[in-house]
Amino acid sequence: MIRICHTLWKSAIAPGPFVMLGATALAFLIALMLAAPWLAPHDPLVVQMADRLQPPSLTYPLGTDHMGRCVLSRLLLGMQSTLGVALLVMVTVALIGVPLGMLSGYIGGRLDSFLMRVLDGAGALPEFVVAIATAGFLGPSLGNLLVAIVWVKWIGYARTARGVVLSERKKEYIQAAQTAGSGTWTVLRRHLVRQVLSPVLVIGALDVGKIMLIISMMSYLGLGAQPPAPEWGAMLNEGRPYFQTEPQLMLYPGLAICLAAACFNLIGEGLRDRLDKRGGLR
Amino acid sequence: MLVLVRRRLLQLVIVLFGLSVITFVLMKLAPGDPVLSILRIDEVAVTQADEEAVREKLGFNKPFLLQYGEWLLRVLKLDLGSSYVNGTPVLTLLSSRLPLTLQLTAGAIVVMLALAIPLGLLAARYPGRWPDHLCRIFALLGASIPNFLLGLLLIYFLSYRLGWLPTMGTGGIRHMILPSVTLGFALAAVYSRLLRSGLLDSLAQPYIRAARARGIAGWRVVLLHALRPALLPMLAVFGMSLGSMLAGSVVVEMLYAWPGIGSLAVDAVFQRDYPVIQGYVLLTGAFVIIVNLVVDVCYGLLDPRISFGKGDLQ
Repeated sequence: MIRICHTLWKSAIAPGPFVMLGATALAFLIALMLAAPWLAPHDPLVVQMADRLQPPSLTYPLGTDHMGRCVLSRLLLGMQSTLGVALLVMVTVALIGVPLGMLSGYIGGRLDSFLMRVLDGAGALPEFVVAIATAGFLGPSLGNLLVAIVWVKWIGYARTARGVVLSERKKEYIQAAQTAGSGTWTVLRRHLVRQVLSPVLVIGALDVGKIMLIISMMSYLGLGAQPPAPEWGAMLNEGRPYFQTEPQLMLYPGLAICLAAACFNLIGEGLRDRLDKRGGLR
Repeated sequence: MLVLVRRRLLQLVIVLFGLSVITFVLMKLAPGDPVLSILRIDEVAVTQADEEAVREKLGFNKPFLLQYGEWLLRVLKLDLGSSYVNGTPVLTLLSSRLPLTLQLTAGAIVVMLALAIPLGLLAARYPGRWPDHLCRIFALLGASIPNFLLGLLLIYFLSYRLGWLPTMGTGGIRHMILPSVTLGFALAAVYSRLLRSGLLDSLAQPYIRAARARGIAGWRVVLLHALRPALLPMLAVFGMSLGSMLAGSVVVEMLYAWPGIGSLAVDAVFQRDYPVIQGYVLLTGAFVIIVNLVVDVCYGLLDPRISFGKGDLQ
């Protein structure tokens, strides 16, 4: 565990201005997300029809929506279902894909060719088509959407991890470790995890942004998080009828999605540039 | 080359078979009884006898595998069943709306090329200077802005406030502009970066230095010598961006009330019109898989360095 943290730190150290900017903004957003229950001035679900479509005021800093709910509170608490869920999904798919890919690349043989077939098959469909299929047949809900995303996304991690292990496996330090009597588990944990981590970190950072966009997109279409849940995309969807008179109802959550996705893209792109320069990837 | 095509064709068949199994099983798992949905179209009281008759007619009382076999045979004959909602054959629905989605996609590709090629060229010609920074900011924006937000902003300013362009529906070229820009913007961001890095790679090659030594300078080198190899990676990624194009087309079609297959699919999801959803998934899935095969083959034809011997395929 300490070793993993150390490697993570090393790949993140002196990360350049873009990564720092993204990481600082992201840290701020995550702090907001964690503190949201205390920061939010109102309950995001309480309907006050008397106060509907209010302009910004001291009671409602960003005004209210078509049901008189506080927009700021909904934005703050909506972070959990957009940003928080996207982070969680990324960690889940990485935890599924990376060990499978590493094991398959290291052991090779039948297991590997079987996994490759599975990857080819499961990865043939874009996540959006899978998401439409699950929403269509199993019903539109955030849970079904997440199943669809996990189903498609783990493949990228398995592929990357497998590729790194395949290229490292034949190197001398691994052979030395094997000769010294290290078993499969030890070699994977001690020597290969740290090689896999940096590229996985890059894909992970870029993926969180993509996952956020697809969650909010499906929710915007009405096929993800369902009202009255304060998810950002769903908020945009609910604001749609009031678009011409109250464009801010759609602008605030839209900008929030854009900002959060930009943080992850800054981090991901910056880390990738660094890896490219070191010759780590491609 | 032939080895690759044969192998990929075999893979295509396997994946399409898997796709058919998954959609069939999902359809069976779906909540609600399709027989009742069909009977409900007529809005008359449903009797037990009616129910049995429809069940018999659709073959729902046969064993599962037999049902799948019969369904697959029908699909192979391009009979995708009929919509639960209005009884129209799914194939008719899809084929009447597909041209509009293709038109939209073509528009988006034009927008993408018009934005990505100049930006990528400028960024690679002046790396580290303002065109490069502009390209970087554009790419960040394109990757981060959700397409529905971009579309809403465009509608709000260009058509609602300024009244320059129509908000929705189909029609002439003026109706195409906003949807195409909305769909093409994110793609342009990806491809401008891709072109830039491809150009920088090829500009670092010895043959470019040789060309420069022969006195060919500036833009001429970039356009005549470096551009061609830099376009190859763009082709390779094209297959992958089909997925995001499909997703984007659904949002854009909903946003601009563009009656393509994407809005058809979303409407079908809301109405629980399973045959239509199934048709959409089969059609787009098969389309993506086939385009990827074509892209791979073209890639092999265009880049003679890639030989598809037996060992290279992994």
